Amino acid sequence: MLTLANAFKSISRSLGRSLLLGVIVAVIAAAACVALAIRGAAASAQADALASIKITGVINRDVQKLMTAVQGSTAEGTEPSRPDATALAQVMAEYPDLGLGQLQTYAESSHVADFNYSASASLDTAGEIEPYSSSSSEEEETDETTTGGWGGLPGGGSMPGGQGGFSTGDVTVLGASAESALTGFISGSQRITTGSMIDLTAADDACLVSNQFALFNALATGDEIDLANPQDEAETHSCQISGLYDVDATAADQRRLSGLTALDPANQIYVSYPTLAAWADASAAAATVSDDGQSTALSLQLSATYVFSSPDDYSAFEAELRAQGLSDYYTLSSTDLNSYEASAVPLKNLSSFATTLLWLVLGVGGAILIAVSVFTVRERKYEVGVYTAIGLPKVQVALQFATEVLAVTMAGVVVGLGAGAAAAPSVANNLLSAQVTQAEADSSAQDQNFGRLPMSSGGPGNMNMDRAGFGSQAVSYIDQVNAAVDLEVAGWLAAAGLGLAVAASFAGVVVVMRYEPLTILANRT
Amino acid sequence: MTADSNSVPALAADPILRLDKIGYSYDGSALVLSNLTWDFQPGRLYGIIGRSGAGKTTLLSLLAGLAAPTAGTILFDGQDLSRLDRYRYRRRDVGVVFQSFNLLPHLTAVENVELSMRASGKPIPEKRATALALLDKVGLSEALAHRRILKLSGGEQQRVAIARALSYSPRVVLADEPTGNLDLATQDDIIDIMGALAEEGRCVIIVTHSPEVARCADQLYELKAAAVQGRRRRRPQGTA
Ligand SMILES: Nc1ncnc2c1ncn2[C@@H]1O[C@H](COP(=O)(O)OP(=O)(O)OP(=O)(O)O)[C@@H](O)[C@H]1O
Ligand SMILES: [Mg+2]
Repeated sequence: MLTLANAFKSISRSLGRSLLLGVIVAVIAAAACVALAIRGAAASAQADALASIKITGVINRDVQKLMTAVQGSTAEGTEPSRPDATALAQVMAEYPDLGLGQLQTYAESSHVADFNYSASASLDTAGEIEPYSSSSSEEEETDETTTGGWGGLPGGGSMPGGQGGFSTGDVTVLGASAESALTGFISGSQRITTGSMIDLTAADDACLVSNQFALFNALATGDEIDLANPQDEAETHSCQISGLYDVDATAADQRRLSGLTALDPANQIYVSYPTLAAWADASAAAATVSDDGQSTALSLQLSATYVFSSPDDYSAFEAELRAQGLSDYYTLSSTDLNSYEASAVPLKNLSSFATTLLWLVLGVGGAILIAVSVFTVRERKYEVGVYTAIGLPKVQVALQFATEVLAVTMAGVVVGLGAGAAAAPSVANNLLSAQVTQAEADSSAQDQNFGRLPMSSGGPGNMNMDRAGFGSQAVSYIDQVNAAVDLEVAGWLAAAGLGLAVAASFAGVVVVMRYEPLTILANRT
Repeated sequence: MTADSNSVPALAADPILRLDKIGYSYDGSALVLSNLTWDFQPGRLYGIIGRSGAGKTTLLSLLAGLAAPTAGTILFDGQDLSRLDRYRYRRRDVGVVFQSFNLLPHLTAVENVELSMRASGKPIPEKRATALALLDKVGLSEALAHRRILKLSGGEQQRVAIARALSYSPRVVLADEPTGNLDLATQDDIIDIMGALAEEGRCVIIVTHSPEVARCADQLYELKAAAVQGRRRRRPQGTA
């Protein structure tokens, strides 16, 4: 009681000293408050961004790694040379693309939330049907077949098992296992406008075609269309149109640039996976193999997608794949996770900046606070002498000084918290936008290094419509955070303030306890 | 206490404070005090005289329990002072008027007095009024009583220090040159107050250079630097 009374009298009677301490604490608290708010906001913005994306992953054979391996084994000790084609063919055969069975086995992992797959095949149109083309000049016949091996490799055509060559027909037929595999319909860039969805579990030869394709060929739902194997025009497969879908114009524009009709979304025909698999089986049964080893069988490109509920599941799944013995020549990759990580770069920078700031402020602030506290007590040596001379125990005097430091510190924390809370949102967003600008500058410099125009995206098309193109994707950075000072931040700050105050008081107490009243008073004239 | 204490009270009463062959040196350097054996009775006024530097303030510090003698013992009520709680002793049993006052500058005169009252833990009713009355008694008006210490003159501060030492009615009052900064009229007032305290049964010990104060003492001790010698002088009979 006496201690408290003395403490508050002392604070109010020595305003200059109290203000100095209070202002120091307020500045520390304001800076710490902003730092804490930014950290919290960055974390929740990242969590929000993560929650809003679906993390999907695909397992691919890492061809580049295989090529490097072949190069490494043959070119040892000699000057670097092109990979030996035979050796490459051997490793390619040794590490083939994973089959559906294998992929499905992996999908049984508890870390996989969902699994879907689709296969695509390139077919020619047969009969009256023509692929949709937006260019008015029809002189260029579109049934040319592009045969490519592993481009530029000598003898690339001799790849075994149908891996080596693919032919581009007029249209792409995509057989999906589940609706989740139809990413265009999921995202809304494609939607059925007439007719109905096909049954993805049945091999019923039902299909979906685009409105453009239907209009171009005067087709309606219920009509049958014939498609031919590009390697063997005599082999045809037919399907019945169950529904017509619309293609988002902007999505369509990008793939059309390639000039290959099969890559135009308007020329995509959707069937169920069982339907396409049945076609492939029939084709394989009737196929002939030419002298150079090329089969005329319809080749399917399999694309399997694993869906994860969190990045942790994704990493755990990858670890599990390795544990199950999946060779390093196969990689699990996720474009969503990559683009999320790219978009979160400025935010992460901001967050680590805030963390550094926080520790710096607490460290330097704590040191200043302790120094001020010790200095103050030394200055108040005489006071300690008087209190103890009139019989107040040293512990009580120390307690009084600690109470003073604590009261002033808490007042400083409250003021700093107010100032910090007012400043945090705009400071956070200003700092973040500086980081975003930095990240944009970095990535556009990167694009130019790769010889890309700043605006270009897409790049050379990929055979698989569902995979992202090779070109750089425009990253949309997370550029807004809500750095509101909530109860958690306030609580943290109060705790930090308390900790600092206790440290500072303790330092003062130690100094007080060292004093003997006689020595203090005797030294005074 | 003997039952028959009215016959020769000064000699028969048990001493409230007794110095038993005490010695003192600051930090092990030369002895300031050596081999002192003095008794102090309650109800008497003692004067301690001696040259500057003789160790008067040092002795008072030992009696006040601010330091322990480096040789011998000080007995308070027959108990070794160094074994007692010296903080409690300081805040309840002994009141000290320091040579350099030792008041708290951030407090007012009356607050300094009140602080000691509260620190003593004694049940003193109406502390503010009592403190003001006490200050008035030592010649400090109410207006001055509400001033901060640094805004008071040396003599005024000295009176605050006296009031503070008396405020919680300690059994022993120690005063180091309590009249050093006071005019003669005020000095007389202070001597009267000290005399009255002794009459009340307290033990009053005053360090002084003033012949007037020395003359009023029931007993005088003289400190001689390093070598110590006690000398007794009776208060003139008939002066009360
Ligand atoms: N803190 C100290 N450390 C060391 N020596 C001290 C200390 N205080 C006093 N002394 C020495 O002890 C001796 C006695 O000092 P003291 O203050 O007791 O003298 P005094 O009799 O009160 O003198 P005065 O009449 O001038 O007040 C002096 O020689 C002084 O120098
Ligand atoms: Mg002295």
